[in-house]
Amino acid sequence: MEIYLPIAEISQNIFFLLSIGFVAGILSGMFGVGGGFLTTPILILSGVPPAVAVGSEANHIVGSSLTGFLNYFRRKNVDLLMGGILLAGGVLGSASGVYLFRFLSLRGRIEEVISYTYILFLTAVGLYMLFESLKTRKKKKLGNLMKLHDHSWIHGLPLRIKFRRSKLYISVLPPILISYFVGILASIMGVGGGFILVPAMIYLLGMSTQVVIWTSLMQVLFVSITSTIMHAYVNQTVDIILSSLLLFGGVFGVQMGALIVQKISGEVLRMLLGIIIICLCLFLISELIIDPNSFFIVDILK
Amino acid sequence: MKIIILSIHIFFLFNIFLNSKEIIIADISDNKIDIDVGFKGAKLLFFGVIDNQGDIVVSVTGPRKAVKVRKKEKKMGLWINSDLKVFYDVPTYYYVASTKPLNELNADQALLVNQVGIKNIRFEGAEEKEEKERDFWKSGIINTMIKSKRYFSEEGYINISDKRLFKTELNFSAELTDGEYLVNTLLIKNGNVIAARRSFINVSKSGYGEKIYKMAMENSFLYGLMSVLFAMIFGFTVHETIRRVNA
Repeated sequence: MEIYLPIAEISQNIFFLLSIGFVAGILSGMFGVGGGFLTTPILILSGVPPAVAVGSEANHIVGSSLTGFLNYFRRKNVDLLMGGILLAGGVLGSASGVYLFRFLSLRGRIEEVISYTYILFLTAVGLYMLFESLKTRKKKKLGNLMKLHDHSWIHGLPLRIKFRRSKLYISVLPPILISYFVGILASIMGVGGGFILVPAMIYLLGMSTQVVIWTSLMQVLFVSITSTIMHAYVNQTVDIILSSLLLFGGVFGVQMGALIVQKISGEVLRMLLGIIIICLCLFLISELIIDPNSFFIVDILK
Repeated sequence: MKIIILSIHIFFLFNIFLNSKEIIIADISDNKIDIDVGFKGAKLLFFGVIDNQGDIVVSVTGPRKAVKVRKKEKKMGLWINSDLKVFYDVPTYYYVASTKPLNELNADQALLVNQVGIKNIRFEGAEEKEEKERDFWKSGIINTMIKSKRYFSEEGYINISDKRLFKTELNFSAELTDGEYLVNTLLIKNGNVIAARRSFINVSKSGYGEKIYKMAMENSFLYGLMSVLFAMIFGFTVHETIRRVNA
């Protein structure tokens, strides 16, 4: 069954869109990521104009991350101070990202930039998570006592603040910079940024996985709200029919993901996410190497 | 029912035709197409009468727009976008039907002049390129348009009955740009166009599709706020439903 998407100006199969939403929903329930890093490239490959895929995906993430956010809210795994700081950086970053997006699409470079940033970040994050989780697994088996987190140069920066929930005493600079940067990426890649933020908070800041998921969902929620409004306002690329279908498909996925997460331990979870990310990355790389079915890309201008 | 209405229609056309000096009279079963949320493409019946024997060629040309074209090139084993050009007056849609295959009409010159047939479509832009390279880009655009179902590489067939009445079906895929579509009918005899007639089909977005599009373009900030609000209500409802079901 086909449905016409008024902003993307193409027809797409309803069940195809619903099932992408479902898979993204499972991911967001399990890992506290919006699932955008998976949805956006699939939408683009299926023929949705990249700009519309990115804008509509931001809107989809608003809904899916709110569901996840409320689910975790009841469990009180909240670091409001850290969340607030990340939020400020993220909102600023996402607003600047939308203008960068416009600049790049006017120069006809946005598809390449989207594709390369995806490959770069997915490889880095995926590999890091995979190796780290394997290492933790090994350590656990040996029965070593683990430190709360490793201390690095990041913990030596000035302007230190105590984050009680996260059991951290670090400078405010790294969280602000990281979230600003993630905000920019969120706008360009059409993601909430959870898949970068989650590992960054765990490994760079040293927060615990439980606190991270909620804090990340909060950041993702507000960043995607900013990014949706900005994309709609600056680029007119938010397709509400497209994002509603993705949301609808996600309803059952989120619930399923939240059930799975209660049965699996932290490092297995991280390993799984790492594997998913690397598979997607290999797929994107293959797209760059295999001969395209058309050597020209034609965009009809308004 | 449709056939009865059509017969009456053709009968009237025929009457007008007998009383006038026109060589071709033609009409379309509907001169507008509405693109709604469930739009899957359309088929319109195109029919008419001719006064003189010959071959009929009908071409449908979508609104002409500027297009931005990027060429992919393999560099160091990777496909990248290497060159960017803008072409103007490119038809966003192209369909042609005729009584005989175009290459059997012996009217290559006339077809070229009237831009009939996919190979004969002209558009402007990238003048600084050498002719050979420009043709390469042009055929690239045409192939991409065929793949995206905007151009039809196969010609349709026009049926003539009683040597004077003709009819054919005009095909429209779901990939339509809104605007005015030109339907150009030519009567060709001995390699020359002896009569021509133009009709128009108006393609516009309608229903929810049109409302959403209009709002997104004209009230973009409000539209953005609404999209966010909608997604949030949705997310909240889902959360509440799940909680109640589980409790």
